[in-house]
Amino acid sequence: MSDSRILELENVSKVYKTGDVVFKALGDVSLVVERGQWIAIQGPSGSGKSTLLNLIGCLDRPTSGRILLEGVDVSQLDDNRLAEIRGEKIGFIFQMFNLIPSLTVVENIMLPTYFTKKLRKTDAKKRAEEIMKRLGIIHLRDRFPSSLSGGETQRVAIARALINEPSLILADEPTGNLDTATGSEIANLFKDIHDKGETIILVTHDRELALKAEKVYELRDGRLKTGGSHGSVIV
Amino acid sequence: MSSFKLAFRNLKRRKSRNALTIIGITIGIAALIALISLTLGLSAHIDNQFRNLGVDVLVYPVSGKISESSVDTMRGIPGVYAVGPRINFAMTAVEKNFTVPFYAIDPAAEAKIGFLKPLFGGLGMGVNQTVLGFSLAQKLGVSVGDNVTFRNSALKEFNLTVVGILQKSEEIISFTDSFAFVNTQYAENMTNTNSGYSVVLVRCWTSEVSSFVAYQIQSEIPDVSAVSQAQIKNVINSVTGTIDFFLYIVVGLALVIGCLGTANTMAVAVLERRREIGIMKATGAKNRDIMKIFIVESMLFGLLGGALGLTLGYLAGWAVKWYVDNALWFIQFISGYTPIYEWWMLPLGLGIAVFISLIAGVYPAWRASRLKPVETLRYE
Repeated sequence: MSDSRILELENVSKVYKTGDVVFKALGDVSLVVERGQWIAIQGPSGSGKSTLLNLIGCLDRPTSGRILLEGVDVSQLDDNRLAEIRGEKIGFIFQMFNLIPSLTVVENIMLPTYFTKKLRKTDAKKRAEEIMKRLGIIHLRDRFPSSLSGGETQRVAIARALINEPSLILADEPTGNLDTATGSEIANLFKDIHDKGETIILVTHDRELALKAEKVYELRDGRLKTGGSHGSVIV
Repeated sequence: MSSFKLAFRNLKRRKSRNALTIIGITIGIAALIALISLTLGLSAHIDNQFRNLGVDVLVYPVSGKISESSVDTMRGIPGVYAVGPRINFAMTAVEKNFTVPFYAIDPAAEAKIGFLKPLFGGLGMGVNQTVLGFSLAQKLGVSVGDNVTFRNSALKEFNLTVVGILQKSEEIISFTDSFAFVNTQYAENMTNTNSGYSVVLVRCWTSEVSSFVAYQIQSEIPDVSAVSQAQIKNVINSVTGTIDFFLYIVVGLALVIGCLGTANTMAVAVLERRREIGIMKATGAKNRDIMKIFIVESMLFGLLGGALGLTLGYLAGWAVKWYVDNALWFIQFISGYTPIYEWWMLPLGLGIAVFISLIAGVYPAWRASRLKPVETLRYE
């Protein structure tokens, strides 16, 4: 695997079994993502987009195939090692924002540093403040999530995803719960983040957001179809 | 950010439920601390009373009364120094309208036994004269020279002059503090009986021979029960030990209930916060991080419940003393005790509280740590 490849999926499949019922969510998916690349994955509901993102994000293990993240086959790692990789190398952004309601904005942003323990508290706070300034949410630092708008909440979630300077940012429908104007702001924010060199994989139904990605893939019936280049959106 | 901070924040989220959980632990620890202080206090009180105990052998009739000839027999038993026969009866204090227990005694014999120690006046009682126990005199509000009217069971009234008030008794079986005393010679009208004695106090030359004297009395005199100081102490220890045992079982149950309450709260918290567990796992939390967060939260219940329990237990110990001194003042056996608090009760109370909350929290925390992140993130 070349150094420029941050992620490589080799014939990855995921099968769910419930009693006698077998459901193939993903079938033999192969994908290569270069460092600094921004790709979007589209597809109808139930096509396996979130399953794919969960496998890439080490939240789940594939039934077969290999997932190489910076050269490491994560499909073979134990729970603790996967947790370390999630904390250090991956930044998650969810459709439902997923902030901890009992923590303030700055505490939510700093949460991953608490688990990875790679930064001292003062350094983590400093970095969180820098990111908040960059994303225009420094004034929200001591507020609780319940008092934030959808757009503000998603910016906080993005700040949390960036705090540990991950190798890969994964976003699952990041504009799915936002109105058009706010969604557009968040789409521009993703572009800014990508322009700073971050690698982004996002799953979205949002045409405007997908248009900003360098490469767009379509996932249909658990299979990844040919990707289009920048600006060609498959819907 | 620390696990404690996270745990504190979570405690604030479900205030009423968490408060109830803490109260569960508080009650258990408070009961434990109050009970220990009560047990220690009573034990010291009883020990103190026995140290000051003047009587060596108590003789009770198995049925009926003890005859004068039996008392004479006792006087002749080797090792006996003095014999104090008493007649027990009751009269009503007319003015204050409450029942007063009386003993008709032989003042000369009692002086030899040395039980009744006058604080004011003396023991020598003539016709229509009485000596009062310290607490009784206080309750009647009288001093030496005052007259008190009593009415006996035949509704006959006696106007008695107080000629002595006894020292506050620290003795357990002297029955002095709440009693009034009259001279047996002049008590016939009051007691309505002259057929014998209800109890006999025996003083030995040395307390070492008390068990032997008790054995001799029981052997030589039919229909009496003689118990020595050591036997009485054993009986009381056995009774208080049995009471303690049952009280500790109740406290144990209270602690188990507190533990179950915490376990329930933690189990519900894990269910409610599945999504949060998923978020934390997605942001790098390992299984042990999740376990730590929930265990710290559970321990916090223990710390808060323990601290409150210690405070409440301390106050409850004094409340029990207040109740005993005011409402149960006539029970010589427990009246006047002081709860004892030792330094080790602090770590013990906190330690038990934290321990039971830990026990309660381990399984829910373990379950939380084992949750699959992908499943918890799906949880709404």
